[in-house]
Amino acid sequence: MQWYVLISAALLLMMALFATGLPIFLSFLTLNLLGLFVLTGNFKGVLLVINSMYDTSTSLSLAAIPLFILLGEILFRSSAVGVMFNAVDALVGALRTRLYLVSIILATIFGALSGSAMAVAAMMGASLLPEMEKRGYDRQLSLSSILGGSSLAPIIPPSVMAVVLGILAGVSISGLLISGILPGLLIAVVFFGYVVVRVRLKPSLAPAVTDSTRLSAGQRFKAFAKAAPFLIIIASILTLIISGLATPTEAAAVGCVVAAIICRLFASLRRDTFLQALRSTAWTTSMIMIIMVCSVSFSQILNMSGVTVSLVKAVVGLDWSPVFMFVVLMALGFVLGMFIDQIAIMILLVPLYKPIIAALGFEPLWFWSIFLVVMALGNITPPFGYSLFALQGAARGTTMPQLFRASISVVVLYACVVVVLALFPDIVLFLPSKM
Amino acid sequence: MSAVVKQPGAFGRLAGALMAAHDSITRFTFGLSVFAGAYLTLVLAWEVFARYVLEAPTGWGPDTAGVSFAFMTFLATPMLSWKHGHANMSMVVNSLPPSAARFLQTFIYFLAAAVCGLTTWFGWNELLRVYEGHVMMIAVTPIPKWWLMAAIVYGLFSMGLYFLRHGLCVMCSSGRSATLEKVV
Repeated sequence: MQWYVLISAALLLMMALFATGLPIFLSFLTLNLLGLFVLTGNFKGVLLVINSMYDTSTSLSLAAIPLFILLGEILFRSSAVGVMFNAVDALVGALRTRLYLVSIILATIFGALSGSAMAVAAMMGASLLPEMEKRGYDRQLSLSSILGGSSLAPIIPPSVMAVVLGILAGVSISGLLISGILPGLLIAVVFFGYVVVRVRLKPSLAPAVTDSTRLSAGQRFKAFAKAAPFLIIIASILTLIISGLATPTEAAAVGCVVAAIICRLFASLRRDTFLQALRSTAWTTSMIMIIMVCSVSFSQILNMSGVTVSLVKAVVGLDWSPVFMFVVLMALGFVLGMFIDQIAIMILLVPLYKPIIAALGFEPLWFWSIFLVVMALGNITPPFGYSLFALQGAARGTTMPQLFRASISVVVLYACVVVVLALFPDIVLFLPSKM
Repeated sequence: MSAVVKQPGAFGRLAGALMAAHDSITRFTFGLSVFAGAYLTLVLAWEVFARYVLEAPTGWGPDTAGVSFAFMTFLATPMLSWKHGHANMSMVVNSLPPSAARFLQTFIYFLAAAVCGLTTWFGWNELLRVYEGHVMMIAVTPIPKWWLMAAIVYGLFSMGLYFLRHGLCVMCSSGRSATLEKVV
């Protein structure tokens, strides 16, 4: 059978299985079993899948996933969120765009702490959005700022998605985590500039500054001092990774212990909330890991079938310019991101992209970092971006058309940043080069 | 007017007891998964402390962390299958008319049970092979490989059982969101 028939049939079958509502892990498992049957004529090759499950489930690099999840759970289940809110609110001070900026900064910080765009979107939609509306901030721009900020979660470390991508793509997980810092901050600054310009052009989008928002320097310092211990958590993780003292997994474990101690001392972490955090971590980890363990053999089966080699030969033989190839590869990830779960996209595309980008001579860390940004973009792009549904669920009275309109500006800004990252690779590669 | 409650027969009572036992095991193994998560965190943090502060890294720390990570995954997955917690894309099912959705859901559950069953069978054979061969994990600390294989087989088998139960449940009830509890 021709390689393009095989890969087309596999991808079409995968989409069909996804569409039926079959759990994602079973869609991959079914496809893998069928693939092995087609290639070998029997099911004996299932042992390959079983051994892949064993290898993947014991991978210590992937063990960073539950640890980053636990870190976010500990912080979200104690009152650390409230402390951070007050600190950022006080530091931003008396500006007309105050709560827009607060929402972006908070979403950036919480995104870094939790690594989950959906969780941040839901939390901000439930807590900050009603307050913004009450104070007269424009609903559409409020939704945009929350969506934009929450979408940074998979980009700014610690990031579960970066760990998954690093494993699948075979690039340094530390490098991929650290390379997300500058692009993440750049996107946050772009959103910052966007709301400031919008409000300057149309002042009615935000209420006038009131006296209650003016705080003395002492009051601001006090609020910041309260939040400082929580920033130590991120600092300790990044320091351990950048200095090379610990692997990302070990750094995440230390971060969890530091977070538990700090939240016990400075927030309201109790035994029952800690247990809830552990239970929730086991649940989420299991959900992600069962997809990983059941799908990694997908790339092995692709190799066995000869699809990977043939695909690379065909793509290289096209003689398209690297710029055009880059656009095509990113566009495919972006389009799939509107419809399919991020991890599923990575599992589908990374084994195919990996040899192609090697053949095209792209710098792997640069390419995969931008790919991660594109994945994050898919998460907020209509019609099926997960964060849109999370925000709609949390923000009462918000309709999908409102969210779609709010997301357009964020998507356009994101696309502009992707172009900048592609043109100036140093933004991505500067920090990893210092490791 | 008094309601007539139909008592289940002997088969129904036996099935109910077996399903209750299955659920109890699932709750118990989920608890073990939570414990494995806590262990994973502490042992890796301790490893960093032991390496730099005590200058005496452990050999067993990373090995047992890998094992606990695998336990964390496979001991918790049956709970996800039970409580419909797996990631999926249900847009198509949700947009179908109830009868078509019910048919599709039944098909999906039975397909899921079959796939899990087939994988369990091969996993079971591999489990027997590594058990009888006293195969150890490739690690500093000798850990029998069958411990992990047992967790994998348990996870797959139990998930398959839940999908079968859900499939039977949807097939035997009229609602789209039929749950096992309703039938039991």
